[in-house]
Amino acid sequence: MGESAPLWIQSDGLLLADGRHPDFAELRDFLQGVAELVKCPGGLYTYRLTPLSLWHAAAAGWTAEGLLGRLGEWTGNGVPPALAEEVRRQIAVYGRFRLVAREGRLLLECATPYHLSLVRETEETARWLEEEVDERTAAVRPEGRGLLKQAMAAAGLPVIDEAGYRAGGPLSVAFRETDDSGQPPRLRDYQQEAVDAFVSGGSGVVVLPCGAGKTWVGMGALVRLQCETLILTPNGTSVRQWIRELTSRTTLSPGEVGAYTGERKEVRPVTVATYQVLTRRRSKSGPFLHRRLFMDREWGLIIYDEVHLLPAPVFRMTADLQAARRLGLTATLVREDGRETDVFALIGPKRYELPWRAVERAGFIARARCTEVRVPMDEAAAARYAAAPRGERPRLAGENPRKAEAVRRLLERHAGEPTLIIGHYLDQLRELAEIFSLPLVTGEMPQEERQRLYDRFNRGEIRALAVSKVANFAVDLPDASVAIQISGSFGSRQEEAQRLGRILRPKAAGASFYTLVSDGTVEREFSRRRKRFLLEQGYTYETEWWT
Amino acid sequence: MREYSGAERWLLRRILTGFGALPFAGGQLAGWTAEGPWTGAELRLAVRRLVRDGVLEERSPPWGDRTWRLPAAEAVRWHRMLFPVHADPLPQEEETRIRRDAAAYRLPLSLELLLVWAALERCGGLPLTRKGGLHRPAAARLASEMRLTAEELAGVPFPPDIPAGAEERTAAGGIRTAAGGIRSAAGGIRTASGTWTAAGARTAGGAGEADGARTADGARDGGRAASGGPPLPLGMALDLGLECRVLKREPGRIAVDPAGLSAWLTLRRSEADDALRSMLTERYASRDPALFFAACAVERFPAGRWFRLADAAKAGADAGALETWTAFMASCGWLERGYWRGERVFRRKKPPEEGDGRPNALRVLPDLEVWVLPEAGLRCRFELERIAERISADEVFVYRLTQAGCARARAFGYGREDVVSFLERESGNPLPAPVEAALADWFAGTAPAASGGRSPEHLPADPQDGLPAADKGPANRAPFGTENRAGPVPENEDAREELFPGIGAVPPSWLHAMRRYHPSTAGLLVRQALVWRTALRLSAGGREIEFVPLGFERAADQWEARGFIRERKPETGGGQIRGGARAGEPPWTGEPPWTEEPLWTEEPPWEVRPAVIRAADAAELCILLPSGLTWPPSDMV
Repeated sequence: MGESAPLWIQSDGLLLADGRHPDFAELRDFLQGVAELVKCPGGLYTYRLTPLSLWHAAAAGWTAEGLLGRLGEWTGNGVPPALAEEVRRQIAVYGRFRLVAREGRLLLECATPYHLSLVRETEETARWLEEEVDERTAAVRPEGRGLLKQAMAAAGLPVIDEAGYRAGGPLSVAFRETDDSGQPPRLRDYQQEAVDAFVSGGSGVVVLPCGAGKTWVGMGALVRLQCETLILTPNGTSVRQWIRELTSRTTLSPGEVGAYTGERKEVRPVTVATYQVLTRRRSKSGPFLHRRLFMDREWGLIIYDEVHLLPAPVFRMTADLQAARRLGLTATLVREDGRETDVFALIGPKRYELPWRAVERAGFIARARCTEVRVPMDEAAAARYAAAPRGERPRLAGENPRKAEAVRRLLERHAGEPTLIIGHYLDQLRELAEIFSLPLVTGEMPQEERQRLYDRFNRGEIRALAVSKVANFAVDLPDASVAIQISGSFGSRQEEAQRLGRILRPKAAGASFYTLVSDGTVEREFSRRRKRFLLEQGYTYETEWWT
Repeated sequence: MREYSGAERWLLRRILTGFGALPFAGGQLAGWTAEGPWTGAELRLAVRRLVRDGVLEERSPPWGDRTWRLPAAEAVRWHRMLFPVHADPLPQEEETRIRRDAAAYRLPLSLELLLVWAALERCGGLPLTRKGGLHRPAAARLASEMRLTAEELAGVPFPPDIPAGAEERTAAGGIRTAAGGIRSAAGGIRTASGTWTAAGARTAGGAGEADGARTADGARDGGRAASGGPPLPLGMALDLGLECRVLKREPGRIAVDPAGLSAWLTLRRSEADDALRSMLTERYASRDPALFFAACAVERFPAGRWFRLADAAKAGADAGALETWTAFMASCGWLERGYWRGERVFRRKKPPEEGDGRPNALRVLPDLEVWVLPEAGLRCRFELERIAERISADEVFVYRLTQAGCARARAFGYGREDVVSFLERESGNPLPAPVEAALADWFAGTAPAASGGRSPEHLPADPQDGLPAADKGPANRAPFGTENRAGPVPENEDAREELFPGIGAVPPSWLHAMRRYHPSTAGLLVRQALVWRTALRLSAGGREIEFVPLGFERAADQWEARGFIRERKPETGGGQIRGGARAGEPPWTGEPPWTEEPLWTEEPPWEVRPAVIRAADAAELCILLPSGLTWPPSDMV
């Protein structure tokens, strides 16, 4: 490590790289093409060679020996032989299976009869095959395109999907000459790269930090593909923001963009829906009431916003939608349910990713300073905490009354700066809102009212806003520069990142993120877990002990 | 070092190829005369002198035959001198054509064992049953710490069962580095304790098998499998731990010995691996001469370059044994194997450049992970085993600092300051704020345990602390261990009488110079030479020859002696060890072609041919005593 060799290769395929090495930038460019970035805390990068990353490398033209030779040049310890064999095996298997459409039929073409026999070997893959066309080609059940790919990928048999995508209903759309602010809408370089990577790849996921403009990537894809598009988002606020962006930045008229939510059911050339509405049904075992939305129009593109929140039923529906291009957008491809592989299989592989800190360094998101503030409990609260059953302690710690005092001091420290106070417990939020005379946004509040408050905040009429977890995602508050997290949902890594994301829109003075943690309580461990994603993205946390 | 005669060197070669470090009896010695060119007398004298010099060990039990043995450490040393290796490494441009075996990753044995020993310390030792056996569930848990599998050890002969032999071992165990250093007081003899029987008596076959001395399969694991002992890898970990005194056997358990551990942790990783490799050669491979020979040969190839296995075989090693040993070495993480153009090739791994006390062997990440780079020393790694939870043990070890890890650290006597200063010292950097905060949380409010653990102070800060000053650094180490040798045996009149029974009654003229004798007297000389199994010098057909009688038949005044004539071309010098030999390994420049510097100026080879000498053929003759041995003794002349 250090000056001599910036890379260590573990036998399990992990690649450990020293970001402080003078040649690291060159190494990173190489690794990005062949391995998946796992994390980069403290300038030390962990990548992983996976079957998927190696298939991508093969698709990009790497040969096994070329790749192994290059890895060997960067490392002081050589490539472990068993790993080298795995690299050879994975690169060799890529390109052996292709899905093609011929004469109206979906066919699986294999390199040799042996390869076809591999697909027939397991029940999960064989079930989607019909009769053999010749000794190395078999027909595929029309509805099995997605599930066959999913099953084959799980079995280590990557399929190149050349069956093509339906063009979708045609839609003429472009970016406007100037938007509402009078500026010409223009994709940033990395956004353009993300669009290019997605379109050339067909389907897949783009990972960009909060505030880096993922919506722009979605709009860029739409403009490039010129087709009717279904956009799925986590909540109504997000639906409205998408519609506002689409109608203000592109040539789409309000009549061409519809909202499909609990309140409105508009199906238009570009339709923005919530995940919830798609998963609605009358009984637990009943049919999904709005599944038809997928079939209502000839969607050429489906965009999954905040794809890390995609509910399981939508995964299953997605398996049937392989003819449409699918674009996943997220800042945190960390699913608390561990279903990242389903995202890869059914939406597509990760097509583009920029580490948060890299975007921050480029100035496209705000430079953020994260601080954990340790707040002691007063005697009475500490006694209650100590006497409480284990299950009640997290809440008692989260609602530590002395946090109000810490909030006051932080508000004083950042007087005049647009500030969000974000919490998990409504009682605590109400109490603080009352103490500091703050407007409070919760899920109970109608969408229109929430939006009015957000708009007032954005206009600078409100300097501080208390928000519940409804503001975790897809709330566009570009000027917010301070976030004070007074409580969180246990150890959710993506929640912490998303909350930080609320203040990352670029701003000259930077942003400050505080997380208040009751000292000496279980909240410390929850906090440690919550911080992990951001630490892995290269953020550092200072710790302040409140006295 | 004195000059060693041709017979002595031949004998040592013969022992190394036939017995390795196993004992041999007089019967075997007698049989070697027939192989030529040396007479039985010369070989007996050679044995005697080698015993006198402490090269061979002699054992004369009150019952049974006298036996001799080349102790394993001596055998390694002599192998180096007597079997020079000549081999060209594969050209570097050819290395890309090598297809390395895709075997599972294996740690260097020093690290593999460190993890087991650390686990053994964490669980408070390995309990023993009342009968002295290992507690099976605890043994199974410990065994699960190891990546080495029983299959990987299957071809390697094991010392006797661990619990049965442990007490004897711990009485005199010690750390021995390859180049000497701290040595056990009686390692060589102790190693042989389980096999201190002449090879001929131990094996079921005839002389040939006795000479080959490959143990029966059932004996390869020291009888462990049959006795239901510990899994082989764990057995080896315990055995080596006891051998190098990191572990000790107590009445109810096998536990870590703090003093032994402390001494072990002062070693550099390469020194620890060298010491372990020596132990494996001397304790394990030595139980099988062919394997032992292969082990000695492989050890001599320089690290970092690829060689053909056939090159090691050319040095005299058995191909099957080479295959077994190199596979075992690969399992111990010391060697790589592969194929090059269809040929089996191998490369000894270079040890990492070690930290030598320099910081920066650790990287402490803000997300509480700790990366341990290959150059990290043993002590640093062992401390991490106490204070953190291991996530992976690979080229780079990865640990995570956790609450549970800190609780364990407290039990070992660490306070927050100890852990912080350790991590900062080894990483060369202040700790990231989240790490400092986490450690503060986890150590808060709890003072270091007063009991139940040991103070980290017993882990010396200076990697060389705990070693005697004279042993610090390889330059101060004795080139070869000699501690196990028996005291010098004087060569006196009694010795001559012992070697040549009845020599005092033999007319001195028989031994002085060639003379013409009456055929019947000449026959007596020949018979005496045959009894002593020595040579005759005689003139026959107008030229002088050396004749070694192996059989004698007489009819009236006529006799006929069957044996061999030996001759050699003009001598070019004696068999003296060159000065460089004492320095241990011959110099390696790393530039192909690579040939070990010969340690001997070799004598020209003997030419040996069968011959029959009849009474009429021998014009003049005398009995030849082995070179350097005269009669009567010089003080009587």
